[in-house]
Amino acid sequence: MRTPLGHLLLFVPIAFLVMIVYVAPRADDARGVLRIAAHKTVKLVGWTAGIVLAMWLLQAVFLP
Amino acid sequence: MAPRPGFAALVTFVVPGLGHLLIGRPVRGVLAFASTVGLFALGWSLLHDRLWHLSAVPPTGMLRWFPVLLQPEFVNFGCLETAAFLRGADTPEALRHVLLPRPGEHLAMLVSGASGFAAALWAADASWIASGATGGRVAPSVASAMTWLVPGSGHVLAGQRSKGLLLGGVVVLTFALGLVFGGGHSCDRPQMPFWWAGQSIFGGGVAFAALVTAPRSMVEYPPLFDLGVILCTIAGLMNAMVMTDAWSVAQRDGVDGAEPAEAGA
Repeated sequence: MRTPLGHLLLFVPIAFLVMIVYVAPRADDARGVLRIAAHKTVKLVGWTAGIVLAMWLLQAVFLP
Repeated sequence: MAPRPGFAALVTFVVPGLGHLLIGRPVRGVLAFASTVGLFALGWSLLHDRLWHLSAVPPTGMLRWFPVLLQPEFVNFGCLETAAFLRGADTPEALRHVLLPRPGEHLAMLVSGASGFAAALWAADASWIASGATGGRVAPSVASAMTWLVPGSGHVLAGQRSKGLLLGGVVVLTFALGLVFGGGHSCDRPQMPFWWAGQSIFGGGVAFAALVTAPRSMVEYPPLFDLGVILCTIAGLMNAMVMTDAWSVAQRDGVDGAEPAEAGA
């Protein structure tokens, strides 16, 4: 859990659980909620990966 | 003349049940008064002045008379202020006693905390009735109250069964993961009152913790304790959203009389 992979293993499922509750008002049944939550989680993980990558690049460029 | 919804809610925060009496619902008013004051009185009678030291910040100065950080009891404004004015002086001898754990205090803290949620739900109920809304298959306040105890049950009562089961499962799973990572001690009010305020929004979860896990002594510090505390708090905050959605689903059912999408299927 204390390695980068461990963080990722924890972050993705928890983000999905939070997203299920977050998008719940947008659907009337479980199937609809899961579909929107999956879509939103993929988007969130993509943005998070992009930000982490950008931080690593900034670190590589500016920090010796 | 019937009071406006906002006024009905406001007076209910000060005197539980008064809003319902003004609207002309005396039975609900008596129930609101008995449940809110009864829960607070029961918790306070067991905790005595130790209650004040469950605040995130020591209750001195302005906070002694206006204990805004004592959550969720502060939502039960009328009861808490009455108790604050009846409070004894903080002598060193009294402080020594109130800071010591009391037998059964976890349950007492749950009961006094529940009075804050009861006050909020009764105030919302008074506002809902004063707005002239008619009931659907379940009153929004009942749907939210049931969700506080058992996440997802409000949706099931309001006709959205599969969504209720999914949301309930998500909240319970998150809370359970928090308890596991925290070695059963991630939901402990005397140790972490600030975090407990968020966790307490899942009433069923904190009840389980108060009865089963919190009274046990910690043998060793769990390596992922912080993660456990955060997950339990996230579960509580998730349940706040589930309660709000349960209210909306029940209210929509009552206002337009439309069948919830899933109920007709």
